[in-house]
Amino acid sequence: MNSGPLLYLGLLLSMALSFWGMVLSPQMQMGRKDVTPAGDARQLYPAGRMGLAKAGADVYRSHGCAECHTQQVRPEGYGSDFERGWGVRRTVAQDYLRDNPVMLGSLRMGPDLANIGVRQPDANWHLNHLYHPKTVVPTSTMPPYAFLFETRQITGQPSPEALTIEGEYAPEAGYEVIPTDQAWALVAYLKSLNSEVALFEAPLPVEPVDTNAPPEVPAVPINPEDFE
Amino acid sequence: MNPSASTTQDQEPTPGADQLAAPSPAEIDASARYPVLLFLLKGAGWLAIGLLLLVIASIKFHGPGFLSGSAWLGLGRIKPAALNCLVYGFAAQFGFALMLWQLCRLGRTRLLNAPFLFLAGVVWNIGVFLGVIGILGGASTGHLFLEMPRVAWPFLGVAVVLISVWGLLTFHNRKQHSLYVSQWFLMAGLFWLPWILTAGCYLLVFDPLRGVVQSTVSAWYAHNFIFMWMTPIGLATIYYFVPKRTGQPLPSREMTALGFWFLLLAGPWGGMTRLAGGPIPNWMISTSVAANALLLVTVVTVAINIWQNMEGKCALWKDKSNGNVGFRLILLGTAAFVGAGLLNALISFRTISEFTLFTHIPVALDHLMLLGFFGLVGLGAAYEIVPKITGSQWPCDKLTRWHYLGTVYGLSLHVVALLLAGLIQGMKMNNPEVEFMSAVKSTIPFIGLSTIGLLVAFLAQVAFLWNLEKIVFAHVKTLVMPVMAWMGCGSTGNAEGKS
Repeated sequence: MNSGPLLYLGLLLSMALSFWGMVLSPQMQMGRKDVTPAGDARQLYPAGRMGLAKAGADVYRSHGCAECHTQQVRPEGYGSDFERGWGVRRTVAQDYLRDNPVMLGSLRMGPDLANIGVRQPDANWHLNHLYHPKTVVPTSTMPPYAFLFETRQITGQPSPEALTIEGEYAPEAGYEVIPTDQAWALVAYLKSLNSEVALFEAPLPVEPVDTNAPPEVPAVPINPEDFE
Repeated sequence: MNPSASTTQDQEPTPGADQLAAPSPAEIDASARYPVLLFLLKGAGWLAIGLLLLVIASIKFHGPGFLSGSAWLGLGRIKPAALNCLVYGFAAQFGFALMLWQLCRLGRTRLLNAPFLFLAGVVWNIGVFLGVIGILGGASTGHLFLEMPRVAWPFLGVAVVLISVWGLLTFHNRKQHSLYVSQWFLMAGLFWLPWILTAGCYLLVFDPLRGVVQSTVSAWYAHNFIFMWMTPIGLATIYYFVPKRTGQPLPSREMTALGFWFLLLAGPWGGMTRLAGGPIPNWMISTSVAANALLLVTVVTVAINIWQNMEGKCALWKDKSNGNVGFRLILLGTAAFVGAGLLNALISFRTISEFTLFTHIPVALDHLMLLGFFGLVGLGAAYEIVPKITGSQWPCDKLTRWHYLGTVYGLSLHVVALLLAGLIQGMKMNNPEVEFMSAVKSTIPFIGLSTIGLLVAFLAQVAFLWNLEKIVFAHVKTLVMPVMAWMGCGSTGNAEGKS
């Protein structure tokens, strides 16, 4: 292999092949996906985020939350995502259609967040958790995001938005902790994370339904003599 | 097989049809001096900065309150910033330096257009600086390995095109026409980087694709950066310096060619194992598993080549003198490559990736490739190249010694600690009976060890930087002094010389 042309040919062939295989093919397979009617109400899924939740996705990206949190539930039997209650079905490509950027994450130093909006719908919990994670999860190793909050002196009435924090992380007397716009947006985004919608390719698990109906009466063959 | 091509390349040119009027090695080194020095100096600087940021990120894992007052130093920003310092600041620039210098030396030709390449180096550094500041400021794009914001990419794009074009022209201008194995690998790297950089950047940063294709493209990009840019350049460097030091040719050119073609065949296809079990088509993951297994051929050929090349030359490894530091680093880098290649194939398999995914083990693999393999090989080569292009020896033996020990032991501790952390984390995380937080907490002692390792490695890089600055400034002084004297500033110059 002493000639340049052979080398060039090999290199170009290899580049073209791998681009076709690993970039072009998935784009041809998944690139034309569109919103689809899903769930009981047959609404278009995914609906896309509006307003605060959309701004919150930007906060999530900007602070690099995906460095420690994933947003993907692996299939049942592969890992323990199901047993941990992180989702009732695996996540599929359809779930991420409206995300930009898609932040699947690659390290779990914290729990998966694909369905955090279902698991923890309480905004106050999230605000306290962001301000100082140990206020709600004593064993947490997450860094506090106190810079998303403003600690200010109470003038007149305490603000209705102020966090209720007790114990060692409470602000000094006469001070209150107010979430900034970023904190509100991030919480709105976290609450919007929900992939527990039945899809054709990823149905929800069917559970036996309790309809409260009386137990079935065994059919007794009719004996004509009874009517006589 | 051309016998002259497989021998080491640093001998005096023998007259023949192959060699036209070739410049002497000293002339070649002089032509490449400034761009190569710039890339090495800046690369070493970014390596130190990247390691420092990694230290901070690592401390935040076990002490979440550390430096948590500012958004600029949040864990989610420090970590990608550190990665980008290492990838674009260090690995890319050391790669440019190694590539350009070897293309000149192996082609027995002067570096074409060195001033432009120097300028490209400056532009590249501006891009990396803007990108890292952008990430710390919160403008990260959120895509693995492509986190730098839009503003940085035009700088990097222009620089990489300039470097590749002039590198290619230098290759064409070669006076030694038959190719040595290192040149194949160098050309692979030279073609690959501009290609993936422009493609990845266009598809994710400037005109983003929709949906999870984003994640597959960024996994493709990250894997290609490691295996189709760092790997070929690093292997070229190994195949250049090791036979040269042992004084015997590589045992088999055919086997090396086999390794090269398998790298081209399997290297670019392996990235999707990063997304095993994720929301992407299964065939992509299966293809990547197969590709990572095929890549073992390349890994084995490297191992056999270097092992046989070192046969009977163990004295060279045991020589612990400072003049041998570069060679020892390159050999350790080779070992790291073999280890990383095996680990890469091992954790691809689904039964294993079920446990290792989302733990610190893939991180450890990335760091083993980035710092263990490419870092050690690059630094080792720098020890060999810098004295040649500046014409002066490394000034301080102690700093060299500290740098060698700190880098090797620090990085080993870091990678081993991360692997252990990941192993325990994976075992616990996949056992639903164990609480999730307990899985996370069990990694913390090991992360502590890895912090110590990173800190040691960082201090070692400071020593290296100090040594390198000394050699560079001594060289700059020899340039400036005559000019100063000529301009009649002799007295000032003398005063500086004494101090």
